[in-house]
Amino acid sequence: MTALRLLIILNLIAMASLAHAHPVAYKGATGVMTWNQPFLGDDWLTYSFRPDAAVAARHMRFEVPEGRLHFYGPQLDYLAKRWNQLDSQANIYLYGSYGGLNFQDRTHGAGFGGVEADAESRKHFVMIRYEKMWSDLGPDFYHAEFRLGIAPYEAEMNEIASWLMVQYQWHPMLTRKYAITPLIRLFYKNVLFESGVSTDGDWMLNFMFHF
Amino acid sequence: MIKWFLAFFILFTTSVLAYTKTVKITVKGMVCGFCAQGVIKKFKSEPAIAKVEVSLEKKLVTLDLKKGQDFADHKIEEILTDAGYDVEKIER
Repeated sequence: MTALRLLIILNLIAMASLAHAHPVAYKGATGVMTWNQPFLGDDWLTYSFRPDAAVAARHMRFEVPEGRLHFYGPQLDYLAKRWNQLDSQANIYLYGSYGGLNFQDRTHGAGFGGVEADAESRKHFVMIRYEKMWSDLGPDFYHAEFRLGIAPYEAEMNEIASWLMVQYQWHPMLTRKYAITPLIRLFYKNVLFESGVSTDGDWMLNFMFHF
Repeated sequence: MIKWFLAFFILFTTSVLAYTKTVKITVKGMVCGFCAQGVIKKFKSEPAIAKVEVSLEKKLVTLDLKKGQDFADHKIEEILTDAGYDVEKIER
């Protein structure tokens, strides 16, 4: 691992200490999520002002064959539907943003929209997400992600929870068109950490924190 | 007679002041410890509540109230709804 990469990771962890995982958390929660892969980066700073809505500041990094793009924008997250059962919870989230897309020293306006659905029990987890971005810079960008997870044990509140997951990503515009990544998710109290390596050898390091 | 009355009065008031209530709430949707941190945070910020315990296995939030304090059901429901959960049952 290069010193620069280590510095970036440490920076992201430090940034997390300033400030979530789901697009909308409990009312009054502030959180940070950072997602880091060689071909994709995604950082969220979120404030849930209602139980079903949050405002966020979002930055995304895309590695495309022509170079690197950055998207910056404010975002509105909405919990469209939640099903609460004694042993499970399922959610549908919608979110949208309008911001700037920077490429080769030029910035263009860009709109961004996404839909995410998840379901989990203390033992199983499934999630699917689709996002699309519109910009006059070039063709629309879109990508999808799917996750399956299983917990080797059912952790209590004061224990470290661990999950074994498999993630499939599809993003035809990026340098990596798709990726299958086995990963481990660990969390304790309000701090969550994920790490994995894809079948192509790409690392992934994600961190979430909320208060 | 007055002595007996005084003794009864002191015993009665002492027992009322020393009495603490426990409220047990069965919660729907509380499956993830990471997300349930908000429940602990919100209940702990309430002056009437001395202790909060969450059991994911039992789907239970247990509140120990401070001496002589009470905490209304509608406030419990409000906090848990704001945290994204549904209340199944409140037992006192």
